[in-house]
Amino acid sequence: MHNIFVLAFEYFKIGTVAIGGGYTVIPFLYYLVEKYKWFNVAEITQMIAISNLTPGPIGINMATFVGIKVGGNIGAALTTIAFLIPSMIIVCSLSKFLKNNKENKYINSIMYGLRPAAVALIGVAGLKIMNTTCFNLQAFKISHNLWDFISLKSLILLAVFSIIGLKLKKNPMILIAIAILVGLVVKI
Amino acid sequence: MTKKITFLKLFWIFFKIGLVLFGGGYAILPFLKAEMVDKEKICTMEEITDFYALSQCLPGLVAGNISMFTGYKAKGVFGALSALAGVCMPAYLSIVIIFSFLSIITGYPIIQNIFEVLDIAVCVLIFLTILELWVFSVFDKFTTFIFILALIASILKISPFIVVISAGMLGIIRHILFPKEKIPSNSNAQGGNNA
Repeated sequence: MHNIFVLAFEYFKIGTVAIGGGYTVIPFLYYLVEKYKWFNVAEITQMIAISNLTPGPIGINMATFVGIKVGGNIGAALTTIAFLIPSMIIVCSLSKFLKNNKENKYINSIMYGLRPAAVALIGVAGLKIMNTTCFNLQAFKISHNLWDFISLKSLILLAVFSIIGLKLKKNPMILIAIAILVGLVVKI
Repeated sequence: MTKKITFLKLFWIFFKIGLVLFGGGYAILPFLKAEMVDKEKICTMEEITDFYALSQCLPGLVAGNISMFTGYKAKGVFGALSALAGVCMPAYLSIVIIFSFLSIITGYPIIQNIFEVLDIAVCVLIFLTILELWVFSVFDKFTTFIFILALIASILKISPFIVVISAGMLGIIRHILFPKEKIPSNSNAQGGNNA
């Protein structure tokens, strides 16, 4: 029970600083793994994949997922609500002043500094996933065989998926569906 | 504020939108236009565009924020909450349902293999998101400086909370030190990217 409230509070903090959509939450999931070990790194990518396949905002999918993982149904509800509270307060209070506040210098200044930092954080999260899927340092240390270190199949798939992804632009669903089909036939 | 619409109706409209919303927050715009501009005539397309720009700059989810702004326009604070509950409910329910049988299916080796391939796809999705964000996030000396600083901080395992908050503060400090300088934004690229 204690865990649920700690998680809800962490998610309240994430809801306060994660600006600009679901993917900005990903670096904070790694932070949670490091700090609490409630789930592991492999489960983060599982969450992202499932969140892309299910309807609704990805951030909600992931909050519910983390919540249910750590604290069952109550955990899921509390985490999702805690995540949304900061934006509820901010959007509702801002709506009142919206007319005179369209071009706020301070909001713009914050965003000017914050966006590149968010990109860097998401980039490191992407590199971490690439590291676990394409490289295996542990196996290399034992065998000293380069092909144990680099998973050639994974790297080829990474290249193929990148090309498909660039062609498809804004349809992550199709890429995920293709990956499922590939996973049915190709043994990694 | 229009009184024509009920809270339940508002919830239902956004529930339907949440049900067909896949991927990032950008996907919500055409649905909002169809339901709230064309059908219910609660706001104009200009307002939706303003809400969208603002939603990206505020904490929380783009889709959640824009739903609240539109809901607020229709029915005040409780309208905003009805819209938010509606748009989030399908996402919440689908994960609760999937999770109940996830542990059973992940026992099969074929499913594990699928998830390993999915990891690679997720990796690609993250890099594609970065490409999209890059154009209007990292475009001059100041933003490149912050990007490199945040990259180093993140590799050194400094908490992302500290990274994000200090980056926002650096933006403000720059504005206070050089109040006359304009706040640059790569708005052309942004318009092209999020249309």
